[in-house]
This record gives sequence, C-alpha cells and structure tokens, in this order.
Amino acid sequence: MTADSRDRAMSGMLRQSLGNTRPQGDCLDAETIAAYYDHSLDAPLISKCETHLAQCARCRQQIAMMVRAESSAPAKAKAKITWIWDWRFLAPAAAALLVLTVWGVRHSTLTVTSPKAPGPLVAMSKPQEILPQLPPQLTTSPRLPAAASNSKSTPLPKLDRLSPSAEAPQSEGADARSLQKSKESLSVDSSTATSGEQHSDGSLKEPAAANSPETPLAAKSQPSGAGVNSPTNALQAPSAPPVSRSNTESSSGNVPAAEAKESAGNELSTAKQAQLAGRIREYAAASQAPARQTEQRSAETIIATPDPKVLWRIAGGGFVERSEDMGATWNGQLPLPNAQLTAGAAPTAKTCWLVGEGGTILLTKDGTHWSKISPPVPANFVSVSSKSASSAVITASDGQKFSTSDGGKKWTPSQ
Amino acid sequence: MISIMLRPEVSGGQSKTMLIDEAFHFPPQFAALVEACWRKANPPSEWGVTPEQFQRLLERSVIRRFSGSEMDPKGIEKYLGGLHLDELALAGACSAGNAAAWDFFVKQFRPELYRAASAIAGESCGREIADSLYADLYGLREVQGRRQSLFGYFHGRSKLSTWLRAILAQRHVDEIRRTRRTEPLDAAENDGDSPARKVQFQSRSDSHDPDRLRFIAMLQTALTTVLATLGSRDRLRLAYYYVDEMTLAQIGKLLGEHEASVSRKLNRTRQSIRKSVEVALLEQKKLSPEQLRLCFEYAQQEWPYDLTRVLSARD
Repeated sequence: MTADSRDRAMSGMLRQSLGNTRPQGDCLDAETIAAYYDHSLDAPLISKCETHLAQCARCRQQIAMMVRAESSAPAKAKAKITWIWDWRFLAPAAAALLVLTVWGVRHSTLTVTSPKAPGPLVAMSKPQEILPQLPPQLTTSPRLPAAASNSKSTPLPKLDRLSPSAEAPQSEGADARSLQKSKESLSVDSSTATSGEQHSDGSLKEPAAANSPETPLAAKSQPSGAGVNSPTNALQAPSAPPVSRSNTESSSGNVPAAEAKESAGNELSTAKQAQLAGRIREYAAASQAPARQTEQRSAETIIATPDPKVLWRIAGGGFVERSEDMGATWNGQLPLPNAQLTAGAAPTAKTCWLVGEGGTILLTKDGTHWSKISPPVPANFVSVSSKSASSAVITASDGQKFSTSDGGKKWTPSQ
Repeated sequence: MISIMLRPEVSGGQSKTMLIDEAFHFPPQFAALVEACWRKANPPSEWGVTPEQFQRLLERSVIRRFSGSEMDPKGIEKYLGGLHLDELALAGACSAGNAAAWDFFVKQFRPELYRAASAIAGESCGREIADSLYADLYGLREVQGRRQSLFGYFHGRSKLSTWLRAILAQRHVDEIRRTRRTEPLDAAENDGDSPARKVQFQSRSDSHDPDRLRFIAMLQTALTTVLATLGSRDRLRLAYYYVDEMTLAQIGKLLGEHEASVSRKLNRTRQSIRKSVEVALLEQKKLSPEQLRLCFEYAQQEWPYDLTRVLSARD
C-alpha cells in the first residue's frame, strides 16, 4: 500500500474522528460567529474562536451554512471588478485612450475635408418577422397560454405554491438547449423577462443578455456539506447538463436537447409534447413576469413516467414536484431538506428513484412517501436508471455503477 | 479606521486603562472620538437617532466586547474604528421602532434575509425561519412590558447581513438538532418494508481476521492521539474539509488563506498525521510493516469514504 493510498485510507477515519469531538466551554454566539466570518475579530479572539470551532460541530455547521448562503447569492451581486481601478490597468488604458482620441480627432479632421457619399441603406426586417411561429400542435394546445403568441394580459394557469409561479418563475435552471429552441419558436415580448438578479431594494434587474433565458450555466463549486445541502444559485446549475442523467435503457429520462429540437419540427409524441409545452409555458411566464423576488431554484430536471400525464421534477433545495396533468400544475414535496438532487428515474407513475450528492438516494413507491436508501458508497451520484421499485442502477460522479434488485437493501458494483 | 489623538494631559501622557463594566460610559476625553463615529455613521435624520442615543449604542458595544476587562483608550479607539457604524445606527433606530428605519431595513435587507434563509434551510423551512426572525427583529416579544427587539443584540462588529445570516444558521442548526430531521424519513417509520435506513458506511465485518478489531482500535487510538497534538488552525482546516465538506476556496476565505495554501497545508497535515500514526504503531505498538499495512487496509474497509477523491474532483 503506497503512502498515497494510506493517506486516502485515513480520510474516512479523519472524518469520523474529527466529527466526534466535544467542545469545551460555551458555543459561540451569533454575533461572535458573524464577526469571525467577517474577519472583524482581533487575533486573540480569532485564535480563541478557532480553538472552539475545531472541536464544535454545531458552530462549524452554522458557519458552513453561512458559507453556502453567501455562495448562493446572485453572482452579479457579489462580483466586484476591482482590477479596473488598479493603476497598472488605468495608466496604459488612459494612454491608449489618449492615443485613440488624438488619432480619432486627426482622422475626423481629414475626413471632413473629403466627404464621402453615404452608402446604401440596408433595410432591416422587423425582429418579429424573422421568428418562426410555434408548431401548430403547441399553439393550439389548451395547456399553452396565449402569452406564447403575443398577449401579455392573458392570465397564466394558477400553479401550486411550490411550483414556479406565473409571477416568479426561474428559468435559468431549465435545460439551456431546450429553452434556446423554445425561445426561437416563440414570438414573445421578453422586455420584462427576469433573470433572478435583484437590485438592493428587491426589484429585479434587467437581464444582461437581451432577456436570454439561456444564461450560461456556471459550474457549481460548492459541496453539499455537513448533511445540509443548500440550493444552488439561481444563476448556477450543476456542472453537468441537467438532462439525460439516467441511462438510455431506463424508462425515465429527461428530454435531451437534440430530441426536443427534432420534435419541434416533427409531430411530437404526447409525453414529449407535454414536456415541451410545460417548458414553453414556463418560459413564457418567465418572460412576462413582473419584477419581484424570484424563487431560488437549481437546475430543473423533468422526469417522465410511462403515464404521459404524470411527470416529476427536481426543483432544488431538496424539493421535488409531481404533476398529474402533463405539467399544467405541480405539487411539491420535500423528501429531504436541502438535498442536492441531480437525477431521477420513474419506472411507474408512482415509483420514482432520486439520486444526488453526498450519497443521496431516495425512493417512493406511492408517489408521496419517500424512503432514504443507504448508498453503496457515499459518493455523488449523477444518474439513475430503473425498471421497477426493486431494480435500479446508479452511477457515481467518478463513473462507478452500482445496481440493486431488492430496492436498495444491497448494492453490487456493475459495469 | 477612525483615529484621534487623546489629550495627553488627560491621560497623563500614558495610556490609562479603564474598567469596562455594565455601567461603563465614555469619559470626556472620548467626546471627539464619539463625534467622529457619529459623523461616520451619518444616520438620516428621519431615523430619529440622536447623538446621545448613538453614543449609548457605542457604549453597549464596548461593554459587550470588553465587559469585565481593563482596556486602554487606544484599544477602545481601535475597536470603535472597526465597527460598522452606519448599520449600528440602523439597528438602533429599528430597535426603537422608527418607521423610516424599518422601511429602509425592509428595502435593503429583507430580500437578502429571505434569500439567505431559503439557501440555508430550503424554501418552506427557510420561509418559516425568516418570518420568525423578522418578527423577533421587530420585537413582537415583550419582556416585563417592554418590547424586545433582536436588534438589541447587534453591536456592529460584523456586517448586518452577516449577522442576520448567522442567526438564521444558528436557528436552523438548532432546529435540526432538536428534531433530527435528517434522520430516517416518515416513510421509513410507517412502511415496515421500507428499505430506508440511516446512512452509514458499510461495515465489512465479515472479515475472518481475529486481529481486525484490534488493529482498527490501535489505529483509531493512535490517530486520536496525533489529532490532539495538532494546532487549532490545522485541526479546523481538516474539520472544514473532511467533516463540513467545504471547498478549498471556502476554507481559504474563512481562514484568510489562499486556496492553494489551503490545499498545500491540508496535504502536509494529512501526511504528517499519517507518518506520526505509522511511527506510533511501529515503534510503540511494535507492529510489523505487514500488520501496519493491514491496519490501513482495515481502516479503508471500515470507513470507505474516499473523501479525497470526491472533494478533489469537486475542487
């Protein structure tokens, strides 16, 4: 056994040993923890705090939560471009600006003396004329609001509280490529689209890129942490695409972008139509939502079932949602608070397997009550395929696969 | 930082310490310093905070920090210079129930409060915690007929937003520990056939080696002994990484270190621990190299949590 192997072997022991300590003295109060977090304490106090924190899981857990809460803040609210004020940038930038200005003045002086005839004007077509219309199946679907066409005043279907509401959906978490196709198919006035970013007064900022819902998804950089997993940033998503986490042989599966693209031009299957209709409706709602505080949700993952009317959806923060009407309405459930769920598979309308980070495996057989399944290894699981409530294959982030045929009581490595 | 020269004739040319107790009030030589703090805080007039009230806020902050200690004026001056004076004034105005201050707080901090609560505790639980905290900040509770606002516990040592997050985190952690909501779910309790169980690492107890448990116990004892000799910061760094599963960047931000430094120090500490454990087992317990190898092998089987691989992929 090499030294490196021994180091790794100790990881489990370190975790166990460090987590089983008992602090001496009273726990830190919130004000002290906040001051420690903000680096406002003097050196002796910092040392005293760190001595306590090294022994106290409770206080460290608080700090871990604060870290996650800060990490989940909107990226733009946190980003501060400080380099631009550095003299090492300002000086050459000012010099370059001066040169350009002088050149520009001289150039304009020369051109004034020899005016040129203006070039031919190019007629620009109106933006709405070049947007393709929705496929007939979608525009005439009773599930689709008229907002998909052009109306802002058509009320959107009332959704369950835990669903992305008509007023405050969160579209960043949706599959980027599917929404891209949806956007191209819609002639929606997106002037009031939301991006989830807020001014300090709570009002929403105009999104940076022309209300594009396909905001580039940033890779998540924080772990689940201490058994308490926080939702990812509204503008972030897991580094891997949220679709097609399950294996191809599974009966579940999200709508791959390529498949959605192909379906948009062809006759859609009922289930796929429902999924796409749901996404388009939510995008349309997002485009017309008034500025208000949006829900913080991670990447949205739709899990289809053999019943085309029944859909599952992973909605961040440990929430999952179930629809029995092809996505028109959703009912939320919280099987495991703050779980970072990444994928799911639904072999029947009422059976659903969910996997996530930190060894999270959940199973429901009746569509309502959830069981937490012991993982074969406490790894981050990124996909699951299943043929029944007893049989499933899960895949860890490092590629390891495990299968079960007894509902998760026993897992065996598989290829 | 606010800095002002104290009159040497008052202090006798030397720093005189002051006893900070519950009855502490700034001596006259602090008048200019308090005035400078007031100017820096610059609370809007509509908040209704008077200079006298603000001075009292500063005194309470000093009492909170140094109660029972002898402090010299320079130390107090340095402390006051590091306070978030504007937010201290806001907290004081809100604690007094000033409507304009509350409007400002709602506009500036309430969205962040609810967002942080949602990030910490999830959507519904976060909402409950945030609502409860909001009520406590307002002061719905009365003690002896007096409305008690949670703002009275803010003393400006941190940013107000950080303080709010700390309270949210504290309440959520205490709630978790009280109800143990991360333990087996309702379905597991109701469904007798449910495969749900607590997440535990699979124990490979089917080994036939009679020395297995002894080796594991020796290794654990040696590890505990070595960990006890670690410095607080090294131990905290390990705990943040292995127990709290923070990223290198997060740990670095908390400890004021660069991400690369955190990684380097973690590796160094881990190697140092391993070598110390090996020495303890080889020399003190007189194990052979083969037995030492078995110790680690059994440890890996008993606690197969390869956190290094998981977190290194994440980092």
